[in-house]
Amino acid sequence: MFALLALARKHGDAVDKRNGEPCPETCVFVPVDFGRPWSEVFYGPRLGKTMRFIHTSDWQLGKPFGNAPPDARAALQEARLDAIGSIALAARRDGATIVLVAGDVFDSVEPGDRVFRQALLRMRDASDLSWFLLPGNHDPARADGLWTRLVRDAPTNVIACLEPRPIAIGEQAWLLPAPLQFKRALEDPTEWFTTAATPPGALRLGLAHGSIQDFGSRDAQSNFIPPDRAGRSGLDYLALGDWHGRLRVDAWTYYSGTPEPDDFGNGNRGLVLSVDVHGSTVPQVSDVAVGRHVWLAADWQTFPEFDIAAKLDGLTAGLERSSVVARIKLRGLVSLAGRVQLRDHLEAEFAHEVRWLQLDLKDLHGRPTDEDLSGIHAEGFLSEVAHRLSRMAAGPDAEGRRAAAALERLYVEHLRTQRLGSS
Amino acid sequence: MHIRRLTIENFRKFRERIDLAGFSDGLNLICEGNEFGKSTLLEAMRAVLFERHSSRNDRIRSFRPYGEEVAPSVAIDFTLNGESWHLEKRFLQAPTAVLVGPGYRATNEEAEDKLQTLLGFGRAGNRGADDDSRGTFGLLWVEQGQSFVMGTPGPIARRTLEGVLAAEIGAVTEGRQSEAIVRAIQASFAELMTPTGRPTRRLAEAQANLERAEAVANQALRDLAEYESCLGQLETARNAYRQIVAALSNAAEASQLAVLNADIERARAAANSLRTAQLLCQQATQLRERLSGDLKRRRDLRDAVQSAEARVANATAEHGGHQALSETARSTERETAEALEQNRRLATEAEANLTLCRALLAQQRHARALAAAFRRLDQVDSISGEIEAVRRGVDGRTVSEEQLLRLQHLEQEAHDARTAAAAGAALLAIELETEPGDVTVNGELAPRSSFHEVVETKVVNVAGIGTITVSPAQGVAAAHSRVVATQQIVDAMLRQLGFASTDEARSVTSAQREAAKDLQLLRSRLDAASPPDPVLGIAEGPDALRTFLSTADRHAIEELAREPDAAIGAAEQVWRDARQALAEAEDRHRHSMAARQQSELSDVRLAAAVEGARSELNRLAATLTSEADAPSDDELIASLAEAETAEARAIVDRNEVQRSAQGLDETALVSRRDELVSQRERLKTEQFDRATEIAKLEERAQTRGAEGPASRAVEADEQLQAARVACEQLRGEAEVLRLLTSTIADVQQDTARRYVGPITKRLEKYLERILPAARVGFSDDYRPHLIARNGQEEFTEDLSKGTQEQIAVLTRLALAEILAERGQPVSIVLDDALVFADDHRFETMLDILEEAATRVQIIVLSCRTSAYGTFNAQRIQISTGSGATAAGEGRALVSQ
Repeated sequence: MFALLALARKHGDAVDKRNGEPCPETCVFVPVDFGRPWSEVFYGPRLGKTMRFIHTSDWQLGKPFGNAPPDARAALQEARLDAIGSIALAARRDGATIVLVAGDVFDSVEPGDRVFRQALLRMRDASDLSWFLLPGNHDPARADGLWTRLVRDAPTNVIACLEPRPIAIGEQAWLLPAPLQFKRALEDPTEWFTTAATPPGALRLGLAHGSIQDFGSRDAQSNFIPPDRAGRSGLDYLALGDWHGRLRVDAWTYYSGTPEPDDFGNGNRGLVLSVDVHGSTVPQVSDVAVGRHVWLAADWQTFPEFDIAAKLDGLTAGLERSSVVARIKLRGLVSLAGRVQLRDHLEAEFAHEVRWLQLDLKDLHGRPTDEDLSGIHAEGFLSEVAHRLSRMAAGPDAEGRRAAAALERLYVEHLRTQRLGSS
Repeated sequence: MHIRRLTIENFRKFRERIDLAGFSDGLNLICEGNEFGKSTLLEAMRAVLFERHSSRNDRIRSFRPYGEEVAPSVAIDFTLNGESWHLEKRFLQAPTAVLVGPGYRATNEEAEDKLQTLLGFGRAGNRGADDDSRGTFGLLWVEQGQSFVMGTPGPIARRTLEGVLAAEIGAVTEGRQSEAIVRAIQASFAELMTPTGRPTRRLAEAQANLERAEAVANQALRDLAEYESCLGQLETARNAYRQIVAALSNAAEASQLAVLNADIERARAAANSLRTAQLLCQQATQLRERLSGDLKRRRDLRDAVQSAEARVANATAEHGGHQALSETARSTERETAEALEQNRRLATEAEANLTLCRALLAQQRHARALAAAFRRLDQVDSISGEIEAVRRGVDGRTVSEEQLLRLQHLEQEAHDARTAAAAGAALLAIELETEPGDVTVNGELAPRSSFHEVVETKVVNVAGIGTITVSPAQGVAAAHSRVVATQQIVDAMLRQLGFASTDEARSVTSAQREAAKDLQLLRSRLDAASPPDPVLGIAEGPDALRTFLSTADRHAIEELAREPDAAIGAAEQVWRDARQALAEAEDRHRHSMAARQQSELSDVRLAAAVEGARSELNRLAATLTSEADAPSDDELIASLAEAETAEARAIVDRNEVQRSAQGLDETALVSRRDELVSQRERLKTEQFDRATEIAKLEERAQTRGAEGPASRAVEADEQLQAARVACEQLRGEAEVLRLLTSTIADVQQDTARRYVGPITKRLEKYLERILPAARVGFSDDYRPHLIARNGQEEFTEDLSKGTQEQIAVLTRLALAEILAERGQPVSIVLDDALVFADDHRFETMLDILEEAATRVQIIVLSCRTSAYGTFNAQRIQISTGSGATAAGEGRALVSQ
């Protein structure tokens, strides 16, 4: 412990030197108590200190959704901005006045004035809350960029954490932010937490953005944060961002996930975490749903009795379909009539019910049955056309697939004409 | 279908009601003259069946007789599958349609629809019915002037036809919706791509979108890069600015400046001290150098005097030694000079002798030439003598060649006259026996016995006796007088020429010619003997020779010429030897003279050396003497020692000062200070520039940032991907539709090929009779487009109009037969057809029509009464007015 103390002093000097400010009284020696987190030994006991705040991250305001249809794009973009209001509501409901945003507030280093102004406006409107914003890998704190303007234009209840320097939150807590200066940094941005001096007994809250493991990103080694950072640096809570789904790393370390989902596969719902930090016990973390859209992905194998309507009902059970973004992939071998029926159902009905449907029928193969062709048979030479295409469709190559598609098209046109004729 | 009766009223030119009745099941002929309105009849039939009664389009209006506001009305009776139908239509005013059949009556739209179903045609369009909407009737009812055109069956006719053909060949017929399906597919394909694969509307638009998206994405990337670069520049500028501020506020630099200024002052003082010490040092050195120089000079002078004395002695000795050598050289030179003189004399003599010899030789040669000339002169003289002799021997008289010929001619003439006189002359023979005296004949004394030709009167006088005169005959006398006259001319000529006779003249002339030849020869010889003599300078010719030699003394010359040649060879040898000896003597003399001159020069040089050494010695001795007043050597040495000590002190002092001034280089210090000052100035300027730059960049960063370049770049990229996917999807769809349309086209083609079989079979049955052994080929749209005869194929449009028309009519017959056999309502109307047929074909076509009419009702409209005279057809009479119908029925048209 003495060695640790000496180390702390040394690093305290370093902090002093680095920040150019006098270091607060850094450490108080407390008799060793191995039953408590050693941080209390080092940074003082937090007995009686409590705090409630909202932990959120990865707003990615201004995400363009360029590949979505225009109306869906507009709705998805607007929903991200609306998330600010939802978070404010959630905070008030929970009686929290602090919102910690753990990075990627904006989707890019420069999302443009509209998004920028809208974001500030909405946070200003929630003037009863303090918003602590951290630059992430999507919106690193580049000099003279977005954050410089934000610092200049932000209302007083919006605090941009642009430097690795402890920030006092009220009288009981100090926030240790780990802002990213670059998209990718090889050093651990939270390294300084360990040596960050806070008044003895004050709550130490870490705020960082990065990965504690390979989340499948292309560059897992950058912005790397040790999973035991909270323990190492005596944090009472470490609010992390980057991972878009909620994730508990340990009792003191959480990823909140994004409040408004923007992709498939990170859990269904957009959440924020309502965190209660109670002195020396583990923090109480509860999920608060705030997201509007639900991103659902399904990959279904068809079978003879496959009921698409039932499947879709199951998929969207309890959800408003207008808030659903769905990606549906169907596989299998069906009759032409079956394929057309499935596609009709999905494209002509479901696609219009949901916000945005991404449909993949590449692997749903339509094999014409005699029944399929019987209708076309009545059309004289078209029957011959159907037979020829059917023969060609047997090939496994691109030509075969094209012939299958042509056959389906013929079938569809046949059905359509039939419908027109009968109507 | 069989038309039974047609009634028309207020229809174009038929204002009055007309009625056509009595149509048979087979062949019907309506034969009327031009302008009657046959084509209007066909139009009326089409109107009642296919035009909608309620239409008011231009065509319907055209049914009205010109300038009348009446209601065109048409009624038609027909049977179909054994059932009788009556149809009436009234157009424009209170338009109505009534269809009455077995147990059926319908009006207006219902009637129209029923009619369509009954006859299988389509609803007329807004602009009226056309061949397409008329179905098979459009194909089989041929209007005037169109009989040679075999049109493409419209969709309705085609469907009917294909249905029938499919039944015929046992195929499945095309469904009712096929056409709509194909149309829809083709329309969809046309929305995406042309048959050649060129993108159209939707696909083209998607491609354009893709290109736009690419452009936008590129622009967004550029914008972002520019924004990033702007931020980078800003960062760089800020760093630079911070550095400048730090540098300007650096306290160390100010104190460095003060130190530098103090150092500069110190350096200046040290430099002054150094200059003084260096001056003193220089003075001491100069004194020391002067004194040591004096001492050295004095010692050198003494050495010089000694060495000058030695040089004088040496030079004197050398000069003395050289006298003997000079003497030898001089005597040698004298000797060689004498020898040279001797040789020169000898050479002169030899040369004189040689010249003499040469002159003598020249004289001798001249004399010999002269002697030869004299010999040639002798020859010339001799030849001249001969010439003179010849000249002298030649008669001086001259006769020319013409004169000689004239003489000869005259003589000949005289001779001829004489001969003629002698031939006729009497011969007077005188023979005297006695000696009577002298006998004279014509006064001339004649011998006693003589003969005389009497060519002239001869008077013989015998002395004494008397005279006898004999006169010649007349002719003889004349001849004789000619003789005499001629002889006189001859004589006169001879006298003139100086000859006695012609012979003389002849001989003289001959002699003269000989002499001339001789003279010629002699003159040649004379020329040869007196050639030009270049040696002596004598011109050609004997006179020149003679003149040249006239003054010469021949004797002396010949004497001289006879003397032997002078001894020139020996004289030349002597002269050459003398020359050689002279050259050698000259050489020797030159050498000895050079040696003497050399010796004399050396002598002078040695004497001068002696003199020089002596004068140098004198000068040095004088200098040495003049030093008497100067300080003594010892004094000088003492002074030098003192000066050396003073110099050493001065050097030590100077070095001391130099050491203290070291590191105080004023120039360097000043330049460093100036540099420092100007650097601060530069930094201040740069600070200002940087501040301006930062302000500009900040402004730019803010403006650009406000546009959201990063989000825009991401968005543009995502939109580009989406556009790419959309474009690919459409392309895929287009390819699918292309495959579908091409497959449809292939199948349609194949089907059409199968379908034409039955038509071909029927057509060729008829065609055989006008084009034996011809085969017909149908296109996919059921038009006969190819005729094969005798192994050769022709396009039908290349055939004659007549043949085209016949094939078109026969094809209609074939189609009508097929349709009729399958229970389709058909009939054939030919308005003014077969106009291009020749008589034989016309007859054949009529036969075929008669035959076909056993299966299909045919109505022929024609204006050619006589052509159809033998035509076995029902002739339809047209009756006008209410009481003139063929059927005798006069009911009003269209019951109101």
